[in-house]
Amino acid sequence: MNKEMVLNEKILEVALADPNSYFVFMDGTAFVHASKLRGKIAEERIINAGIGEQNAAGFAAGLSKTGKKVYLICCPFFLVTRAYEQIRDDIAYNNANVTIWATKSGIVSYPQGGYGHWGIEDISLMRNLPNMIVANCATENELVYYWNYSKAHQGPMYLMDENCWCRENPDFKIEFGKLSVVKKGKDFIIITTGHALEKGLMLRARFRAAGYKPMLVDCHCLKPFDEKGIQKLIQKGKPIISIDEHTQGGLTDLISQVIAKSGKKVTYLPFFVHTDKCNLVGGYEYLANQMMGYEKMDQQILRCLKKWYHYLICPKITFLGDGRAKVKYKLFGVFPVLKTVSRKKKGHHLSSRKYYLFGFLRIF
Amino acid sequence: MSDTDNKRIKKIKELLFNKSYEHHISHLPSNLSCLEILYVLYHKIAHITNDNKADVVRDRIIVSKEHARWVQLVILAEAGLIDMACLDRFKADGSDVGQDMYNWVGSKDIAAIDYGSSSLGHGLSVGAGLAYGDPQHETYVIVGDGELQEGSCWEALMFAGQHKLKNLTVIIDRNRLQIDDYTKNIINTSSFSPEAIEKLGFCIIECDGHNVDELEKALQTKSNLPRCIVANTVKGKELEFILKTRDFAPFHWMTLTEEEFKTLKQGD
Repeated sequence: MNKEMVLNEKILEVALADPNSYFVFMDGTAFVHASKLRGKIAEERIINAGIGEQNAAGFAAGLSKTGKKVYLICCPFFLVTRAYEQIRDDIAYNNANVTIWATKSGIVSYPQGGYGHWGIEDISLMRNLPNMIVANCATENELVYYWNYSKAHQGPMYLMDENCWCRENPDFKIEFGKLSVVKKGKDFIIITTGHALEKGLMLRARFRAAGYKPMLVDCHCLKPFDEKGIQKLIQKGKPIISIDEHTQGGLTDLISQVIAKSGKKVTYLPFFVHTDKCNLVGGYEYLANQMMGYEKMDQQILRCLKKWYHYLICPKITFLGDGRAKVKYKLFGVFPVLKTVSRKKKGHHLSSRKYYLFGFLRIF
Repeated sequence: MSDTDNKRIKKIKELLFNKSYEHHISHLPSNLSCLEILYVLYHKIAHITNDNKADVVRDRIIVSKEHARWVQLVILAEAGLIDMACLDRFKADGSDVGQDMYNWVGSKDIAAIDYGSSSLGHGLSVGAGLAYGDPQHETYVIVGDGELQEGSCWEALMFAGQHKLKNLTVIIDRNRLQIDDYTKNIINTSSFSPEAIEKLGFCIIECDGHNVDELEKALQTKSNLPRCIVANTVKGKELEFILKTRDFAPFHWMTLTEEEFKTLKQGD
């Protein structure tokens, strides 16, 4: 099922389970997300607030104070910045029992809409609000988990998804307030949030093909943030890479603060949206490459992974674009010693490599 | 106005001036323009008692023009709905009683206070939510006429009119002044708002905002539409002598000086 279908099923499930739940939609989100509710719950529980985000947020707060559990379903690039004061004062400060479901966060959601349609500041803005729980759902499992969590939670929540899900829907343990280890590894650590999990999986696959085994961690809960989890990762003494398709002030800052407080020497390479390129026009891949620096990511990571003996045998890694990688080792950068090329097994980009002694003599 | 009302209002004003002077409380003129409105609401119209003030569903009064929070507290204290000691700890260090109040049904001491936010333009939306969620009870929202310059007010008014929230009553404290000048010289919401709000589906009733009997009659008017009471008021009623010596902005923010306090006392 696509994301919309799963989300709508979940909304219906919550609506049927709790007759005290009310759903406030904005113009547009009602069309996409309210259809399953009509005819199945009382009409008064489905409210279309129209094109008025500030009113919608204040209204949701007031409605919740009559004892209702309120879900406010909207697009973050309209709600968060325009109605930030209402979310701040009426929902967060007053600890209103309102769950904001921000569908289509991040640059991946509406890239062609231009800067006005990018919900990229929301993590930074929401995590600074009192009482607010902030979570970013990268997979179907995470979406289901947080909707279930919101049912029981009394207080404000900001839940988001980024339009495109991680296609794999990897199965890993999800625990509130904790980082989730998606893939184990040892050479370096990749921490992602939201859609960036898919980028993290692809990155890991490329580096596996080149002979590295990175650990992949998903940070779905941004507030409360799992500081202890980050501290444990710092203890491993490996380079840390983070990928967040939002502006700084979100995952990047959260990790930076923990690293700074730890006093440890850590190589930290964050990837986030740089808004100095906000006037760019194009699709997601183009914008992500330009604003996040994805094109240069592999080489930047390789520089972090350079060991002392690499200056002797000088490995040169070429990512072949199809998920495979070729590594050439040259003594002092001149004399070819070894070449490896990752082999494509059925359905996998990882697994074994072919080895060539002196660069041409196949040995394995 | 009955003798009882007269005496009570006089007592409230005395309490307001005494405590304001003692604790250097500011924004007195805005508080004075809606004193009678709040008196009538709490004493004659809304059913808010010590027995039900902590209830999740009951009549609600929202002071959206948040700089009038102080007079709301004074009236609540005089009515016995909050402890009189609250007035002595308003905005004090560590107090639970400030311009913003994190309260709602959390704290029984100040449970009578509905909604605590210190930014203009919020109360109408919250009031719409309260009215929508609790159709069995009444929700009253006091807004300033200058406050109607906030666009968020109009979003809420449009919504309330569209959904015919007949248990929502908006009371415009129309004193025709904002901080810097008369509203007519900045954005004339005092003049065009009633007609515009009527077009949004409200029943408009106009009255003297300092006349207890007129206010009571206006608030008891029945309608199948949401109501908007346009209460004509005087900003800083009884402090008009001060306006002769101060510009509009200092008048808006004023605290009582010793001399001004003595003048008020002499007038008693």
